[in-house]
Amino acid sequence: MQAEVTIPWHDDDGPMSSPLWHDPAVEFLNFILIFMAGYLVLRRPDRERLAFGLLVTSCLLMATLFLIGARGSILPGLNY
Amino acid sequence: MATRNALYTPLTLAVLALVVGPIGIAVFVLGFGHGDSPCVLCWAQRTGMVLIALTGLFVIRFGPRPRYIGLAVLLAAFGIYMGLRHSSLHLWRDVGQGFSAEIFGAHTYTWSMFIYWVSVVMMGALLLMLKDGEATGEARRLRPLERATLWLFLLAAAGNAVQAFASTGPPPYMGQGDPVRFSFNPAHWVWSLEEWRPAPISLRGRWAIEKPDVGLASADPAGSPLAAVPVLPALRHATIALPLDGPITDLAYNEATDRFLVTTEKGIYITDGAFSRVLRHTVVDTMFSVDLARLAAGTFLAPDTVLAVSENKSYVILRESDRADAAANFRYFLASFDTFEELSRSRFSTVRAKMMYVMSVAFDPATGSVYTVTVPNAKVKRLVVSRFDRRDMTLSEEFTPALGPDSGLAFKTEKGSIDSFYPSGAAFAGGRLYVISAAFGTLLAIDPQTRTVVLARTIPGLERPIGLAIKGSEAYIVNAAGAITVVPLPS
Repeated sequence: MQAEVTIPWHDDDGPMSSPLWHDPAVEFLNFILIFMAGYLVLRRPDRERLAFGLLVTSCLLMATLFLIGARGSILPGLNY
Repeated sequence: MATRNALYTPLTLAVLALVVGPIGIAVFVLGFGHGDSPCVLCWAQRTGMVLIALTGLFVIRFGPRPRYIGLAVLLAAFGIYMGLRHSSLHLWRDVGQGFSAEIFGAHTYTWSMFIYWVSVVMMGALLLMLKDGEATGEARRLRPLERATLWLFLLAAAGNAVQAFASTGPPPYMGQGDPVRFSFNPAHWVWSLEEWRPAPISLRGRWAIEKPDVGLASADPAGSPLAAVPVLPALRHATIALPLDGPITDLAYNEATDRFLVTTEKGIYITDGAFSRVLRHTVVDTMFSVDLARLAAGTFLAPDTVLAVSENKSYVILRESDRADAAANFRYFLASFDTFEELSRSRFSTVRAKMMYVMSVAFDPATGSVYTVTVPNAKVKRLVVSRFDRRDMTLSEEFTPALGPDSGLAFKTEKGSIDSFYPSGAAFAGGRLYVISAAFGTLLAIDPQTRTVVLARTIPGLERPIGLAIKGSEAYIVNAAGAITVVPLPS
């Protein structure tokens, strides 16, 4: 069973005060980074270094998120 | 210019296909349309596809710089790993079972492996079109199709951001292992911190099962979950002092020929009824074809036919022969090629015992049944008796025995269980499956008809028993060093 938490504005007991609140590591944030990188490629090609930096950051974030989800069995679940 | 278009047009079309196909369908059709909500692993797989598309757009905009290509290769490689890792979660389910939505009959997470693989193929094909000096580093003026692709990409990224916000929330919330249906209604949003919880890190996960070892079992009878188990003193002791190729792993007896079967990790030995000499033997090539690992148990299927089972429930069936073709048997055996014929080499498949090893096998000729009994491990502690039909060696019954109501046995505590026994040898006699447990030095008798333990006896002084044979009214219990403890067979 997943550990459900209610959305803060639906319940006053929401974990907004969690110390993890400021940890920047979620899918939503990742898509914001991706959107920004894509926007720079389209509208501000002179900021290629920044766009590529966002791209690399997003790649690392994606890999980190996957490995967090898969840490219980990092190798594929085959019959070893 | 024609050469550059030959590179950029196919690349643009490939990115467009990726954006409109898997990425766009995932968010707009499956997500917003059908309420599909990715799990934490699905999110990473989808994000990886978006990133590959974005890397392609970098190439379209700035040319094929080596760092773009390098990053794309890394992304695709990680994507293939992600696809395999995620799909493997559902590998052993029954047909049609899986997680989330299907596309053309295949669940979404299984598609990603194929898509990443196609990405690698596309990259190879496009690299073949690359001219020396193509990567100038200058920003290209985008053509209409390329500009439209970029806008569509931004739309898809925005759509994913919206779905990610609703499904996973802002930091620090992240994707869930078992997400709820997507909805635009905030009342149905569930944001979770479950993936942040401390959890053990493992390479093989639930498949990391330690190999069986009687040394892991506590021999102290005081630790038995059963209360007041009667003691069964030894009648006598003996020793197998024969030239074997390694430690003994099991013992079996055939009454018709008055001979014993002794197995080692690779060896099959037929001895006389007094263990005075080896009548016939061979050494099995346990690595050929089916991985037999260590032979852990053996039994007679007929006076001239033996079955040896490895700890991983693979098995080999050998028939004695004085006319065996030594040349043909080179592929099966490592020594003594002309004494046996190999009839079969395969694997027992189980259901309840799938994640457990075995150290015992017994054969009931009356019903043509082969029995194995599991040993517990750190992840799964359950005593499972599996019965296989001799005719096809297929699982025909599995059960976890309870205490027989008329056995007089009882657990010491309410939470008592026979799962803590460590069955290291088994034999069949008189309609009962006898099991010797390395834990607590206990002999158990299981009635397969009632699926109950009908008898238990503690045998003092047993040291790491590894095998059990029944000869007449006596039970022979052996350890790896060949020390035999003979006890009267309780009834």
